[in-house]
Amino acid sequence: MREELGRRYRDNAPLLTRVRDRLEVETTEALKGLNHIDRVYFRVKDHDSFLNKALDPRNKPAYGDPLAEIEDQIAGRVLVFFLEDVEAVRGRLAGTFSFVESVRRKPAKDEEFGYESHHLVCVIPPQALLPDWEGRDDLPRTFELQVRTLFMHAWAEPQHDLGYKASEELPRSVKRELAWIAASAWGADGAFQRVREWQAQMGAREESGT
Amino acid sequence: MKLVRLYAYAVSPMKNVEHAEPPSGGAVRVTPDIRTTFEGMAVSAEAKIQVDFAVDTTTRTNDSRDRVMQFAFEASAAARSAATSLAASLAERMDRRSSACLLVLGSLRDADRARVFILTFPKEDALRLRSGGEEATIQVLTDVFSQTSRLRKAALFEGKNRKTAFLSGKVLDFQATTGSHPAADFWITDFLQCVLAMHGEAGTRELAKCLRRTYEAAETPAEKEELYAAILSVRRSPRPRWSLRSFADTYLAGRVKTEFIDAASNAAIVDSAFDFVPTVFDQALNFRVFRLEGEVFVSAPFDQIGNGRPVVVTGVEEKHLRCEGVVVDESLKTRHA
Repeated sequence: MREELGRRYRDNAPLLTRVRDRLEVETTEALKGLNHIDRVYFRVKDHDSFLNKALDPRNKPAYGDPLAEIEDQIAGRVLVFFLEDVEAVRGRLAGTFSFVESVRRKPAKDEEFGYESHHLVCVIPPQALLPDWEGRDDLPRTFELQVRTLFMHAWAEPQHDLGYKASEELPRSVKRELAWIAASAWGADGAFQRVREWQAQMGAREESGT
Repeated sequence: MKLVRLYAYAVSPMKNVEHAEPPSGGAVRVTPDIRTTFEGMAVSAEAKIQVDFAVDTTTRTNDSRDRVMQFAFEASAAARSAATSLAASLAERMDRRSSACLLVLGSLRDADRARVFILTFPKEDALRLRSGGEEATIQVLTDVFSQTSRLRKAALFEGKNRKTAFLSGKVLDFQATTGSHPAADFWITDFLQCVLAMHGEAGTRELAKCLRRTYEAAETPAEKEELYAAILSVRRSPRPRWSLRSFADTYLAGRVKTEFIDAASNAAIVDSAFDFVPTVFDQALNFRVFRLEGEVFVSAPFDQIGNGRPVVVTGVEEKHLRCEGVVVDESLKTRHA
């Protein structure tokens, strides 16, 4: 089954890549004029990642049609400078994409520090689709879009291989290191945002002449 | 796909009615004639406006979508409940500006894939003539519903029974692009709980993109002027909603029109409606650049070009440009920006 599913995913890869390119253009154009965008980039899920997700025995329920059901086969990411820019980006993207999910991912408990990001699942819009895409049952109708600050990303990317999908349990000391890094990133985001707010106040005072 | 389920209801406006009467109707026996008629309607090429269900992004639910899928995939009792619920929902959203209608819901199946169609036919009075011998009689029929009225509406949704399917569909609604917003929003927004799949900003950018590509491909000054006139007209038009095709039908002709339609990102979006966003249009397409003899370049926003404006352009085949204004800034460059 893995081999057959892998073959079918490889067959779809060129189509996914073309739609990925269109979505990246669409997203970049949608965000034109917004300040503090560091980067917009999209990717197609790699072959092994797709198969691991599709066939993970922990999936409850299991995927019946993973080629259609796995929603991050095409995924994009928007990196911004400041916390306030996350909502600004989300608001701007709402003028281009239909959201199916909009979730602020953050640690379950207030006293914990870890992964933070804003996750969107969007319908692939008609202008990005390829001909006959809609008639096929083995292609996704949605894609994932993550919006993060640079600090959220600086924590999420390295720890992705270290902790999130590690096949073995991490030692307590390593977990605490990762939590410390996450807390530092969280703190840096907060500090940057306070500086932004101070800057805005100074700007407003200059304009009013006080 | 085969028609497996058909329900029909007579729906009267019940919005703000104190003691609303539920729509009357129910399951329709699928005879060969009925099957032929409605299977044909279910693949109607007329339903071209692409829509997405407006899903609650925390729960991933939408009442209309949930009912449509229940109608498509659940057993008879649940399907009947969904159909009745949709009929009642339609009645609750119809006010006295709407005429009573026939609501038809059908489901076609092919293995685990379903297509659901939702059709409305407005009620009309009709006359029937019966003639025989030397006498003729006229009957006034008051329980007739029009198949051809421009007030009729349709919606088509298709897919498998999973959370990633039935998120989008196609709609027929003549009022969606020509009427006022309340009329335009009734079917798509209020009843189906959908939004236009091509959002306003994206659709407006697409329009600007098509215009730019067509302008670049224009072969004669007259073609360029036609496009320029179209750009000015749409910016001034009070019409809030367009499709690429309705824009082309309104403002373009001949080769330019064909080029414009061919410039779309894909053929499927040509008939897809979107709300025109003037600010996005101006950001995407706001400058006209003229290159004069002697490598002189004049770049001006559209609203600065014309009689009485700083930039005046005359002539068609051979144009002349006159520009006058107060210099507020100048710079030295290695080449024209």
